[in-house]
Amino acid sequence: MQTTSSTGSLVCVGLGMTLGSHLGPLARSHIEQADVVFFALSDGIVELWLRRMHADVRSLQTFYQEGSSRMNTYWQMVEAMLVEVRAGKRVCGVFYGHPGVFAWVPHKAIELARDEGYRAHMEPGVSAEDCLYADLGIDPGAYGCQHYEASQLLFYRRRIDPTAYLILWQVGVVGDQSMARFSTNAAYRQVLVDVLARDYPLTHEVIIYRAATLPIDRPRMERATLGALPRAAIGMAETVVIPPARPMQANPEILARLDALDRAVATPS
Amino acid sequence: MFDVVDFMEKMGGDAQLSQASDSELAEALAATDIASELQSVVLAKNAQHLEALLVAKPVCVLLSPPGPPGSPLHAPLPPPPPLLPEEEWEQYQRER
Repeated sequence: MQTTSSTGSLVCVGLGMTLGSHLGPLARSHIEQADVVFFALSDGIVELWLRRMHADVRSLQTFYQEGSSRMNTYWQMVEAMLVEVRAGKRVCGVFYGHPGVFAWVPHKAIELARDEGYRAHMEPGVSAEDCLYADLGIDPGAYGCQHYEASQLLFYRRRIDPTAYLILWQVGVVGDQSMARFSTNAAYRQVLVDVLARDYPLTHEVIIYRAATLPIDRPRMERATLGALPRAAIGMAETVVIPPARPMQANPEILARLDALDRAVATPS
Repeated sequence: MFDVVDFMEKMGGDAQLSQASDSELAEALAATDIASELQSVVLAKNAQHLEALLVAKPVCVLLSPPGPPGSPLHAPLPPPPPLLPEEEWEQYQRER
């Protein structure tokens, strides 16, 4: 890591999912006290709200272009923030939800800023995952919870545990190897279903979920069978939740071992 | 001037207003000088129409690239914790 005497710094904060409901006081203070604010948000009205918090607010959305690799877009976003850090500015990157959850850009920008010797850190926010637990009444502690980026589940061999919840993110672009599309079609979702069908029956009920971004909005919580998933309307903001399909299996061998330990603790030698 | 974006912020952060009935919401809106067309859209809870009226830009919400393995588009993932050398992993598998 280099060291620098520059006053430039970077903080990436989360605005939460719902306008007015989730922004924490520390994140707000970082926005208000920054020299320049960059943003990538989930809703145009949320953008209008952010613009009231600071005079110099710059969109990172402008780098997105259908047909151009998102990887290039992400690097452009990182570079846009670092240019201002290197110029000695206090830079605040504002991202919807949690800035570090399913968000490559904030992590990379912080990593590179630190490598160049600048102060850089992240402040958490309320993520779509947090909203999902509240809206769907799921406690990840009850049965456990696996999370995968949907394409990664196709690109790599992963082990699915059908006794736990399975939550799939970015299903709307599942299977896109070009990283240049904003959506993939039913045929791509069929590949996902074929992979999932190794562990779940096609009649298994899944939930298509989208968090509310405005206080007048309601979360989308639509139930469908796994087999119907290719035909469902699933956009960039939708998440697919697959509830457990099998009961958890007791582990008698380990339980017996723990019982023996309990007895040993209860019987002082 | 208190406008519809201010109203959204107030509604999002107010325990009572965020859970308000239609009549309570109408009453709260009537106490503002927000244009009647916007009030109607808020009351109808039509977020898309509200975006259109406010000329809010559509957004892309993708920030996490998986990328296919071995492709130049593959995002460099954070380094994993130290992995077992292949021969140690194979020995562990044999001994299981």
